[in-house]
Amino acid sequence: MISPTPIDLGALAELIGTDDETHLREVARLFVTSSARMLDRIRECQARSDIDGLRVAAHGWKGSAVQVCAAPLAEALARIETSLPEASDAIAEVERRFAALSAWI
Amino acid sequence: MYDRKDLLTGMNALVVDDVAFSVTLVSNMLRELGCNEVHGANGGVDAVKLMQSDLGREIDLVVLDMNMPGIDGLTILRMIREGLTEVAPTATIAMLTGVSEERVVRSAFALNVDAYVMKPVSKAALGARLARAAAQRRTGSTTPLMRSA
Repeated sequence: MISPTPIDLGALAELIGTDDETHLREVARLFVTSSARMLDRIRECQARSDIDGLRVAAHGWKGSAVQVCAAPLAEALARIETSLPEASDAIAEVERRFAALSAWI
Repeated sequence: MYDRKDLLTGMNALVVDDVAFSVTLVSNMLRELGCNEVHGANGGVDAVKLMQSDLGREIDLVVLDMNMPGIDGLTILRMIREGLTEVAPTATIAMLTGVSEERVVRSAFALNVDAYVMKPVSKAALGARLARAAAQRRTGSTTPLMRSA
């Protein structure tokens, strides 16, 4: 089930040390912008069946998702790591959650 | 002692992560914690290029992600400690990663990492860890600490 809040702004405020919502949303937008490249990387690894590349890409992106308090996306990325070598369903879930996050931003 | 906003005043930092967002976020934190200059590298290959340039001599604090394609954090740590870059081997080096496997953590400590910090980390906690690590390096104390967020 997808969380109704793709990013927990309250938790992010604590991590970054500010409660300025404009600043927090800028951080969230920056995360989404830079994440597009990570999704491309995961799709490329999937296309060439690069299991190690998939693991590294999912793990790295998950770290950023955790840092920005995007728990639903982070959980889906963790599922890629645990479901390898067959991760098609997990990747599809990441795509759905990233789309939800992009729309929310 | 470690909760001041000027914890890292005067330090010149390098942040290395293959995810651009993480570089930006951590770099902003370090600037707000008082760092003088903060440079970012998008991945290990970019980091090595930067560290082997003249700019490397100005760096005295390095914050490293672990898993990166091409050149990973442990390799960069080893290169710095062995004097294979322009960054001083005595620089303060911290791992900032989601990797908690004991084998990896032990490898980092064996290579004389100063701090091993788990993501996610708050600005305050990161500042405290880095300041403590830098202070320990200045005074010659070498007891690295690991933090679970």
